[in-house]
Amino acid sequence: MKAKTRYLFYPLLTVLLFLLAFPLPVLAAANGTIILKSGQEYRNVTFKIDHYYKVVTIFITDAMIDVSFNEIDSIIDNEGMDVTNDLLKRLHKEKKRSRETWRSKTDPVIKKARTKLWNTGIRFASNFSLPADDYYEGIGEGIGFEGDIIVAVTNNVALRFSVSKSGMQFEDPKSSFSPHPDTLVTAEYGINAVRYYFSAEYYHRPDRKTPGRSIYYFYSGLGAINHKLSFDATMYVKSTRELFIASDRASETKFATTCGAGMIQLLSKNIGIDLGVAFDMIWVRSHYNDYSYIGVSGYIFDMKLGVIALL
Amino acid sequence: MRGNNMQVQHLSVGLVLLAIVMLAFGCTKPYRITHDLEAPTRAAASCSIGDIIDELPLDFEEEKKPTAEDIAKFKDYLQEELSKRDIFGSHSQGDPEADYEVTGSIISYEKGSGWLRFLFGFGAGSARVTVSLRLIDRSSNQTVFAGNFNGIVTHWAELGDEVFSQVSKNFAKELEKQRKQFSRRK
Repeated sequence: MKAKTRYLFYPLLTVLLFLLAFPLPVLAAANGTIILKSGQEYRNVTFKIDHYYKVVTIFITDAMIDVSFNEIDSIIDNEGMDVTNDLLKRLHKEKKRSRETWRSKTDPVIKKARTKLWNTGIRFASNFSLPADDYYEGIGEGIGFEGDIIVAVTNNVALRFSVSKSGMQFEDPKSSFSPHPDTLVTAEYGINAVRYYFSAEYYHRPDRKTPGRSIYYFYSGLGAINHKLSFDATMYVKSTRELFIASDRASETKFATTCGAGMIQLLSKNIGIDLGVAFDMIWVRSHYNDYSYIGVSGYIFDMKLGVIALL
Repeated sequence: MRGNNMQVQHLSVGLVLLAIVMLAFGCTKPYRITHDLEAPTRAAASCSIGDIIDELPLDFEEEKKPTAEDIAKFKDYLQEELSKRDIFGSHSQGDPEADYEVTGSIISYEKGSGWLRFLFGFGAGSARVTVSLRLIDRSSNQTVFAGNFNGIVTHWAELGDEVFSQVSKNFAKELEKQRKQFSRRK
């Protein structure tokens, strides 16, 4: 991208995103005949539609009349076509309602519609973990597995308890070297990382829990990661034919945060395929030096594929 | 160093453009009056809050509409705001004998999500409503004041039904303003 283009690209992108989030009143001008529900007709007039306020401004000789969308019965274009639904973005011609028809939240229809589609989800998945940053230097990706219990609190919000074993391993788990021509040392390193998370999840509820429907979700949470490190070494001395064995184990637990998103594709009423991604941040250590706060972190990116039962 | 200066310039231009857009957006009133008050309302007259009807599109899902409880709250807000400003001599709900009646139609509604507003902000989970409100003079059965009022809640600390409170406040405020214009002319 040229420097001049780049100069304007990001500012304009910011403004565009803002406008998408908070649209300003959009005005469109057209010609036609407007018939109000009261029976009044404005024939062959110019009018502007304001979707922000849901008002149509009709221009008649020397005057302007503002009419709310709900007062309009129909708008007919110059070719005689009823364009009410297209222009006012109404999917059906509205019937004249004259009485309140609101349903109480205790009404069985509303209660049924707002009833949670599921209470508990049990999920098993495999994960492909990719560690990053200084803390995980020398540790490579790997395939692990995980399990979750998801408790629906409302139709859109759930709590998620997750335990996940990451498959990441040392990039060179085995090394051999000779500190002396007579001696051969073989060392093996292992890592076993298990994550425990408690997250809040937002999910998009489908209308019905039927095969083919999708549930989209995202979550973020807090937890801990436990690393179990193992070291096994053997030293063989050729001249004496002696074999020395040494091993050590260490465990380290760190605070961690996670966020993720995914999609459940329902295969049946209660079973679905779950596909997701997650990003974990591991808080390794932090301290203040003379000038500023120093934090050292590690990251784990995960791709997940599993099965979920929604009960 | 040159790269840093460029970044600062990008940021400055972005902020200025955003400020202009936000200013334009901020200047937008949350309501549009479709029928101005043409004569002062009678100060000692009584006013009743009447029906708030559903004029949402026919395919609007039932469970996503405001409930009867939301509408009852809305009527309470309207009555409270009109009383607070002493626009009429007395204020009630559903009184067929009142001199004036406020009726409304809900023409768009989004319930929103407080959790999304809390988690993300930036407009996610916003609650929105557009209500067409009318003041009817019962003696002539004519609409004497009307407008479309928007309510929007984007902040996590506010409840979704705050949209009805905003609409009520703006309706009473504009009605009071137009009434006062007649008093000043005298």
